[in-house]
Amino acid sequence: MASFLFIRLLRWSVGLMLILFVTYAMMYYGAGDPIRMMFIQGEDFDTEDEAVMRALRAKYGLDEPFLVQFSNYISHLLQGDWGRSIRLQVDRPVLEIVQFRLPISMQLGFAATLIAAVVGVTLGVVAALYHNRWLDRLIITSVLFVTSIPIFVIGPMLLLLLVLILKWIDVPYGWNGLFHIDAALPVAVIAIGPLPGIVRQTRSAMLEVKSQQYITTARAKGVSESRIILRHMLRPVMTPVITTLGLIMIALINGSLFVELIYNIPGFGLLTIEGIRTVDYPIIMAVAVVGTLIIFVSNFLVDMIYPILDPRVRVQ
Amino acid sequence: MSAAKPEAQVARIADDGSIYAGAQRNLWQDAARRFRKNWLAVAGLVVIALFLILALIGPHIAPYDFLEQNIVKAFQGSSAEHLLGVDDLGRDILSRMLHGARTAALVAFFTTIISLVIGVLVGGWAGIRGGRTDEFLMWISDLIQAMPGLLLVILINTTLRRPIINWFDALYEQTRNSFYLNTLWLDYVLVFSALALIGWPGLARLIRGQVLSIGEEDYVLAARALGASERHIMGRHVIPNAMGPLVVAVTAGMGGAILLEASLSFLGIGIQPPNASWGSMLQEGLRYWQIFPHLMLIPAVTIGIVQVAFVFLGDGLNDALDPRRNS
Amino acid sequence: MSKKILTLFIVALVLLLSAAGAMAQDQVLRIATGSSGVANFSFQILSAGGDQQNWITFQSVPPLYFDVDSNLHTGYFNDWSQNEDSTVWTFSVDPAARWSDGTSITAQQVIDSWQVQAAPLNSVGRIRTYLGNVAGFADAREAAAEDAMTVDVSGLSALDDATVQVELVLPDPIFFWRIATAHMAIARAEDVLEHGFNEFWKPENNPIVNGPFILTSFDPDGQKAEMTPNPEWWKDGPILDKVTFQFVTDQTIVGAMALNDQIDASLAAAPSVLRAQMPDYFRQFQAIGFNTFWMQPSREPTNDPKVREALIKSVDWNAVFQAAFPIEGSGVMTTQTLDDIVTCQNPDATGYPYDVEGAQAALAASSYGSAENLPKLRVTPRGSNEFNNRALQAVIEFWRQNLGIENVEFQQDPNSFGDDLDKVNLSRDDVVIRFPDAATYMWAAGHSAGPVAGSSMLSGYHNEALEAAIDEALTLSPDDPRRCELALEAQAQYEGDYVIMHFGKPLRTANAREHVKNYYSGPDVSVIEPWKISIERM
Repeated sequence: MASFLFIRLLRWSVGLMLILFVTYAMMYYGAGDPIRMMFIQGEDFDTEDEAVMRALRAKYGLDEPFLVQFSNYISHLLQGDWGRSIRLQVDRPVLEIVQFRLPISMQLGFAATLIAAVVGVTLGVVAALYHNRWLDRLIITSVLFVTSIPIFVIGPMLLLLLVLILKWIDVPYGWNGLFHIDAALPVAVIAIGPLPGIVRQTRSAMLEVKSQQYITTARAKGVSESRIILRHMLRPVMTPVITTLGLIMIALINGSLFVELIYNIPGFGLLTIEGIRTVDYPIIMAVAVVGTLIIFVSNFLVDMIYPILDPRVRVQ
Repeated sequence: MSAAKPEAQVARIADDGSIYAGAQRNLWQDAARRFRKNWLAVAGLVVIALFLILALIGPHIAPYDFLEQNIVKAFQGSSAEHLLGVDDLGRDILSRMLHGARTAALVAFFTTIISLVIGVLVGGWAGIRGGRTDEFLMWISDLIQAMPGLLLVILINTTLRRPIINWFDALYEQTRNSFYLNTLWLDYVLVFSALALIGWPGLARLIRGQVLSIGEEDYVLAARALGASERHIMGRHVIPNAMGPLVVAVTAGMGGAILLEASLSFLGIGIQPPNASWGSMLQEGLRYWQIFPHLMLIPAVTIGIVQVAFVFLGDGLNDALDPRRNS
Repeated sequence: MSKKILTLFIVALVLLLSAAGAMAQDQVLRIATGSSGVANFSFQILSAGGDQQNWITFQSVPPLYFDVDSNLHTGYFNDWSQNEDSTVWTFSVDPAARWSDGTSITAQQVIDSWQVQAAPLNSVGRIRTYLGNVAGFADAREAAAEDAMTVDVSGLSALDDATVQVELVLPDPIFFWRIATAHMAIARAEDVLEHGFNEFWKPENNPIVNGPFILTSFDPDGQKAEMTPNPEWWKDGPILDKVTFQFVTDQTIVGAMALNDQIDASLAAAPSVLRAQMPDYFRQFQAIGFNTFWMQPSREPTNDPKVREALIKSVDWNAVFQAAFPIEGSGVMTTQTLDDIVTCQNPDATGYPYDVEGAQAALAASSYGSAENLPKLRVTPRGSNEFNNRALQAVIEFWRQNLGIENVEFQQDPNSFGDDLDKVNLSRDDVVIRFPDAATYMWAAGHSAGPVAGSSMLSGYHNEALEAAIDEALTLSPDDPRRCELALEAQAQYEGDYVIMHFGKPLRTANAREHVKNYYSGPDVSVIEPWKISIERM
């Protein structure tokens, strides 16, 4: 077991290093000089000044050749120094920014997953119970239609509907905690994304269970229908759903970018966009490191937990 | 060595107890029959077919040049001259939508084909060879999946454009062939390749899984025992049997690619104006939606319909190609 | 019985509290800051650029400043004089001027702050436009160590506690206009040296300022900030009890927040389609602020004057204006380089002619001969501003229709060009001159020592006749009619070189609801006299 873990860890460390190398190389060779961008972007064209740019490049170590820059970055990273933002929040330690932003996206992702799961499983079960009847079709098609509208259309439209037409809420702004009214709309919009997947998964799992013999047996024994649904059907349906929920949550943490952009939420997804827009190397690298680590860790956890949930795998 | 005819091995016992023995042709016929019964899937197929035909001939039947501006008419709604109205620069929306259909079709198909080819090759190879090859290939695909997908796509789109354009400029300097000057299509290529790059690992895993499970089946073991080459096993047994899940994944991927392209346009990267793409039309239309909603609604609704059609088609194909689902 | 009294008491208390709350709410100004595309939330006083330049005057007074009607007012300087040939200037610090810790502002403090801005590391690129002509400025920057936080400019000296003397290299009769901008606001140099250039202004470092408000909270994560009155403020007011800032970059959201009464004013303009719903928000005033496209004269293919001529003449600039400003009253057409609020214009200017045949002839006469042989044109409107985007797309379409040019790379965001920024042929900016002088305006636009030709946008541009005219004009008194004539001569030279494309400027809008009184931006975009702003709801 220990050697198995060790090999895994080694493999992932090499992988992470590879990803960081490629990311840095792409930034260095493709995105251009962040200092130059800094003056050209926005309204500051006239402030381009070689003396100024030279001084700034030296300050951030950007005047070094690629390999030196990269190895400097890695050695600093290994010592826990994530660098300082060049442009986004000038000179602020990147770690500080990440520490604030990541939990926001995690909370959003977690809440959205929970809502998507509850709504999705309910709809899936209902659809399966009314298999091939109009309610089934209605659920499946309406869920699909809602998801087929791009999130950046549905996001602003819902916002303007609720704020300006119905006047139920104010324009949500910033981050005031998960339980603040401002978080409701973003969470709901994020939850739309994985909904059809969950509905369909639940529905087909339900359909499979429905035809199993033990259900027929239970029914023959006179067990009440609601009891059959709750005790005998839901449990086997939930297992595969739960295992995919983790993956959905990871996808949501990384993918809440559009919602964060639309609703001004200073989360991790927005940081990705802002980092790229400002060509802020340390920010982009931090996003790559953290984003990759999240997925590594979650893959690892899934691998560890899955045998516990599914005895068949354990036997193998 | 083709002694083992695949038709003989497709024999399977269906849920209803009847035995499907016989030609693969029959399997396809059955699938077609089942598919026709699913009206949602047929509707999806019709919409997709219409979409493809329009993508193919649309630019030729477009009433106007999709770039032509008629600034005096800017923002006008539907009229006899312009069925869907005109946009903020007085360009005919119908013509732009038809060109956008071509863009969308190109994105959907190239993205999927590239990722499908890579996925099948890598997944198949990994599944058949097993061992170290399998481990290495799956490690690579894990790594690509481990990077946040959108970050990867955005990075590729923002960083790879320049080196490739410069390469072409250099080629032009050498050859003086004016083909290398026009790098507009690079927008397309970059979007395809970026989307394909994040798409293939999923397909590779799928194929590998199929290969592994089918490889355990008796008839494949038999074929292998009879000395059939790996290429033969792959081509005759594995791929035909993996068709069902693959078709579903591919159709879903096509719809997803169209949506992703639109999302890239929303972020201001990807296909740039004045080239017509549904995503960029949508993004520009969002600016004016309160007063001129048609600018936003037309592309949004179109994307939605095509998207749903792809999903219904995929579902229908899945049900049709998987005999066990026949209930 | 007592229950009833208690209830009454509570009701009264609630009413009282809410009334008090309403009163306290009265003088709060809520601003949405942040322009689209660039995510930089900062309240730096000394950096002279970026979004924060709009809010400098809340915290710090300029030396002198222009109001909306281009009248000059005094800030921390209250008097000035110049020698005969305008090479030596003296400025007196207002004896009333003091810092938020109660101490007076000294001449040496002014000089120290300017010298901090002059240090290259502090990246105040714009300082060249203001102090570039001061003796020793260029040498000091050249000699500065890479990590120097301040430099020593020999031409700046304090004659006594209240007098700053500035020695110039070349005569400059309008030097006092030049420094009349919030960009020359000051901070205490020792604070900058102690906490760092990007840190000293943050509330945790107890910044000492000389403006009407103090930044009391700054939350870079939540992207909110708050300012409260400076108790040591030395002019009248301020009337506001509080100013709050939120960072919002999306125009649609800004519009919704304004309509929903969540903000009173914003930096990013609301979408122009909201004009009918919020006429007050869009009320207009005059300001320099002028968008033009420039063609790069030292890059292929725009290095060929014939190509530039063709590219300009093939475009119907009236149509471009219409494309840029389709909504009635959102812009004014421009027919010449000089902005309509600087000291002089050419009254007969009609703009570039729409001359398709002339354009085609010019292209044929160019070294490339035809559209097919033309190398790729790289163009950018530099940002997502709706007016510029539509204008540039219209321009590209005219090129395609009239010249057959299809090989154009259009990128909204100049960053997308990466290192190929050095090859961009056309980009957009305004002539960043913050005072209404025609000669200086032309200097900035066309002189090779000026900011536009000094930037990569127009680098390599050089016109002997233009520079001779400007060099002479700049030494003349602003009252001398010759100064104006020379500026117009320079303009004629400039337009004859076909480097500038002008079509119109968006009218400057208040971007504030009607109940916000005395809220104006000056020519340097910072808010003028924020201590006079008040909230007066009907």
